[in-house]
Amino acid sequence: MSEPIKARNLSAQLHYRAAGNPPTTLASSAISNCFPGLEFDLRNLWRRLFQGILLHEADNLVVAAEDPGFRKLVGHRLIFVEECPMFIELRGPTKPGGADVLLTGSGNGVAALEWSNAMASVLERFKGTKDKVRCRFTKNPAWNPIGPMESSSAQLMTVRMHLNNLFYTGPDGEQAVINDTVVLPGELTQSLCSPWQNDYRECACYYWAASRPDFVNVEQTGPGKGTGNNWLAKDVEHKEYVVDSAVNQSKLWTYDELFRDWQRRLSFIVGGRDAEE
Amino acid sequence: MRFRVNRHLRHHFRAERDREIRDAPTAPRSLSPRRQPYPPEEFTWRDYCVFLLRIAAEIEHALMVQYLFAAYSIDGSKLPSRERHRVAAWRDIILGVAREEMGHLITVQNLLILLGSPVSLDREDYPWDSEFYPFTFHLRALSLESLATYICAESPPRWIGQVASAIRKRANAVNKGPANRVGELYALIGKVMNDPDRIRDADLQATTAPFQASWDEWGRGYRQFAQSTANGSRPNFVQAQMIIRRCSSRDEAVSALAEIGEQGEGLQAAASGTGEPGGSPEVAHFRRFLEIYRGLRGTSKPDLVALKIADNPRTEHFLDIARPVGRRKIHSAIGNFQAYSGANVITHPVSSPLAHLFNLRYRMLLVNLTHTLRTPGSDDPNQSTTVRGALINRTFGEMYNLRSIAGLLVRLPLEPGSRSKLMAGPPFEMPYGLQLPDFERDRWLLHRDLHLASLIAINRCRTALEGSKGIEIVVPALTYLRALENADRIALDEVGGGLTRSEAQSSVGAPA
Amino acid sequence: MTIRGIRILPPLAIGRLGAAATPMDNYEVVKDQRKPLGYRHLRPAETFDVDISSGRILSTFTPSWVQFKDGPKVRPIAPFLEVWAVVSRDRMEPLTLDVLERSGLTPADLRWRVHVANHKVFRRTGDWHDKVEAFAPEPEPDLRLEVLRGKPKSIPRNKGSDPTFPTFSDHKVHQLLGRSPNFWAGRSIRLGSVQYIDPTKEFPQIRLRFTPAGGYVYGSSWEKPPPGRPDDPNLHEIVYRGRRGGWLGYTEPSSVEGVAKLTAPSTIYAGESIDGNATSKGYLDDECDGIVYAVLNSPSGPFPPAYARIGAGPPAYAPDSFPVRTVADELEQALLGTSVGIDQVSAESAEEIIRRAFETIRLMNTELMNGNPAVGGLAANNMVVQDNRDTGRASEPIMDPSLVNNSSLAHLHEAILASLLSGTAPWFTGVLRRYDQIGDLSDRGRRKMPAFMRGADGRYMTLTRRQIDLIEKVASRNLNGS
Repeated sequence: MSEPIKARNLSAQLHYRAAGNPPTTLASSAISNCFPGLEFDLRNLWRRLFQGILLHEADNLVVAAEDPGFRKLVGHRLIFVEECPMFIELRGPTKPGGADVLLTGSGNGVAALEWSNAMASVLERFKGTKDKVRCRFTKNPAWNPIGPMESSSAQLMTVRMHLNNLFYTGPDGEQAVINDTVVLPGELTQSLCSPWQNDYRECACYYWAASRPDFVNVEQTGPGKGTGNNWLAKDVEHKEYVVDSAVNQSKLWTYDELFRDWQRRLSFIVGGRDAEE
Repeated sequence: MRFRVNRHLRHHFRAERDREIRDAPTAPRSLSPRRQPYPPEEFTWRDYCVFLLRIAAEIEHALMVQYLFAAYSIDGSKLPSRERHRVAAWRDIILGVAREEMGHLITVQNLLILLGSPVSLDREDYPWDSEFYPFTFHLRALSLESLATYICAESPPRWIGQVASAIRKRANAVNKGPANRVGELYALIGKVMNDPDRIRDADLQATTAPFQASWDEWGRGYRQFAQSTANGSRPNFVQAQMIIRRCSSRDEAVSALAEIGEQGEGLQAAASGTGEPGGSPEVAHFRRFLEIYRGLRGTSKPDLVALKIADNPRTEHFLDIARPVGRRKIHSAIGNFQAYSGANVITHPVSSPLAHLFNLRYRMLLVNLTHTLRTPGSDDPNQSTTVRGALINRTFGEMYNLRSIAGLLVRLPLEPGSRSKLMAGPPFEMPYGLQLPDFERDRWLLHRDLHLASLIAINRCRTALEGSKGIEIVVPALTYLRALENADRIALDEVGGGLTRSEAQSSVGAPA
Repeated sequence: MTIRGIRILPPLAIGRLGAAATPMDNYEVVKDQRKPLGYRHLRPAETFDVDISSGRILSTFTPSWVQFKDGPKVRPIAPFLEVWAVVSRDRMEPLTLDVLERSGLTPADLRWRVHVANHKVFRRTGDWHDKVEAFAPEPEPDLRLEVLRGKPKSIPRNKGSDPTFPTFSDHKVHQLLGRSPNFWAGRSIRLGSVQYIDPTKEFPQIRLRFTPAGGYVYGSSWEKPPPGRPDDPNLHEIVYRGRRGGWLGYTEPSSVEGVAKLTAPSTIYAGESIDGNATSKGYLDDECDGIVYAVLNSPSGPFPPAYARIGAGPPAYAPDSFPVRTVADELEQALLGTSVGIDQVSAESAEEIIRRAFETIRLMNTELMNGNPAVGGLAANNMVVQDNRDTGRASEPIMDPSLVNNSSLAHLHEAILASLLSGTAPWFTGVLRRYDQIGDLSDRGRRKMPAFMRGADGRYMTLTRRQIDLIEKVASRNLNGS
């Protein structure tokens, strides 16, 4: 039987592995650079961060008001929270070797910061207090992305908002479970690919290689030289990585083939190689 | 410095210095035939330029090693916690300076390559006594004295004042003679290279570019003046900006030399009084060392900032390694030499094999670096990743290995018993030779030999550790050795592949 | 010892889809002591043998090997959720038969209810009739409707019990049948099942098991589908009524507001291009996420319900490797803040992050991800192309192409990891990308770490601020020998 746990040791509770549970049942096995994600789109954790409004999980935009009193904010953008900007300027060269400039290629040269890191310090500061957070919204609706702004800009207005508890907070304090009124059933997975197999091809999703492998059965043929298979390749005898591109459609499992029989076709990779089943 | 180098310098440097030293280093000059200086005996200007660059390389290499040693000595764990942060930052700053010296070293190699000369990573172990050298080569833990010598070595020409005098005095106390300035050498090289009468356009071979190192290859993610973050991490943290320039022309070469000099001394900054181009005033090595010096003086207990590491640690060499430890005969010639030079021999049974392992990995770093610079990179975008890229990664891997092993050595005793309380340190002893074999296959055989030698060395270390008592760091040391062994075996597999491939490529063994 | 309240642990459990009849056995993933840089090992571990019909654990056993599939089918990962008793201000213990007995209670006093949903269609169409909700046990239709309408007021708060929602305390398998107003009558998507394990003397812990669904694809039709397998071989069953709801043939809106509300990335549903628009084929899957509630009666009235979250995702296909940044990292930062406490600063945690980075790139085609032209990297699915497409940044490799051979990079990470294992303080905090540096698409900026990977904001990934703080704290502590 397990050892007792401190009720306030939220970290231990989060990482607790119940008897009989393999390691991939744990939150530490699920990816969180969510674009959109594999197990969960955890960006959805933040949508009801502020009482009364619903934020876009992936943009600094108010998409709905759950409290009629905040209807006026729908379509407005949240630009600053306290002193923290919710956006960042994009800078880089437009020609190789060129100077770094504001990149306005598509969009207005800014990207919305992910809520999780951008709001982390504000959340820390205000959690458990009854204080309102000073938010600077655009004065007007801004469904289209807008460019960089100073916090003193006349195009912004201040609205003070209460934060919701992201985690269930009872009489004994905060617990480690995500609050059921802040994230409803279905919301952690709603913005994932539909069906999920859609995420396995062409989604530039090879950046979760530890969860959804890319380059397998690798063989080094000398320093700086090696080859291996694309995890989605049909033919793994031939040791050559098949790039996911238009010309190689027949060499990789198609969406349809995955929908039909992903279970047989995809291999578990252990030690970097196809595991024997 | 070896006599063969020194003999040329004695003659010429004084003369040049007397004549040229007051000139601004970057201003191009055309000299009338009457005023044109002569190259020293046995030289042409181009060859002389190569000669000077080789000295520069040796100096940068030596500075880098000394700074690394100093950085590895920094500890601060016995200081009050409010001071530890700052001390840790000093370590990073000095490591940053060492990294930048490496950038200089590499840029100098590029210039050598540009002139059609072989690369030069050689340096004298010990002792030194040339006027060209900024200070007596001395591996020592960080102290006000050692910092004073570094400051003087990197100081701008007209650095005067009370502080300057005090620091010079402290530097001279340990340096046994006035400290010279590295900048003078670069100024001289710059002058020579900038003069089309001395170095002709045809002497500068732009086609060597693929052999030269590029910032893209070596710069990694380093940038200048990384911001500190909202997480409250170290303020005023100055990050290394590596200057690595590929040079295909005179202008590029001269400009690279100026930059290197600038990074050391901050001449422009001193002149303009506004700080470095690019913003922050704290960039020049000179200024960074000065800052640390001030900080060190202001520490509650300056003596506790660095570990008590022996100066100039050296490995022991026996004639008969098969005999048990107490019964071995010391190699007398080396023993005499070490006694003469004030070296401290590492005799502790655990530290000794680790020090040898350190030297071996140091050699591997130099071999990989040399091999890299002798392997052309490709300008052809359609060429896939190359051997050169793998060699660069291997070189970096060895840098990390040196850091790891140094980290262990500074926490191990110099000698057995409680004879001295001194710790060992990374010896940085040069290999017997740095010549890279001509043929590619033989180069890989060398790599293979080094990995195999490493496996043997690792075993010796492990045996010593397992039989040891009272060593605090046994567990991390053994873990590291296992990991390194792991890595060596994997590398051997790949080197085997490289051997087979180069065998296939070169039937008669044409030079690569 | 009195029960002051209950909790369910873990607070978030992940199930993984698979159609095999027997769920995956338990196993351990351990580092190789002899080869610190090698792959982690998978070792079979003590597994519960659950008898489905009685709901009891019959015995435990350790399988001979770790087997992820049964023939052509993947074995689902079916997590257990344990109920714990809060016995004092700060102490929790497993809730077992004994603990219940001592409070004069029996397992029947512990009641469960489960609510999971799949809102993937609803997220796109915005039509609440497209929500797919499953309950165990099934509530009254009115209540189901209220949940669908999403009226927060009607969702019971965590004060006292929920008389409106039914609960169960039997040990049968309860199917989680996902129903939707826009489904054909009688059709549903099976989203998995739950079973309250009947505690015994030998296995007295109070627990529930969630078994996810089989990983099937469901579809839509315009006309009422006949019984039997659908014509479309991709589909397990037709459920969605094409003319009633908008999913079949759905295309993304082009209005300003519509575009602003799209998912990021957008167009990630199964579809075909018709007139240049990605037109939905009306597919749905059987993933879900939701909540498990446990209510314990007591003589003085029920305790406030405890709950935990569950979800069902795809298998972790490289089970010996773990991601660099995880849901646990997110939740820890949100719970505990951006600054790691002194007692949590350990070299092992910093090593673990680097090890995960290493495990990730080992499985990645780094040359392609770097944008190496020689392998078609300037026209592939990678950040190089995304940078150009999204922002107009010059299209070129991130790092020098010669450096990014997969093994060569792996060796570099091995050397870093080895160094950390030796107790060397991390020296590379300067090359870690900070959350507010994602806009830096200069050469230097793009070369920071983690490299090549996309983050939640669509630009280069960063670690959480807490993760970076951990590494920095380890770096500024001198750990050799201490």
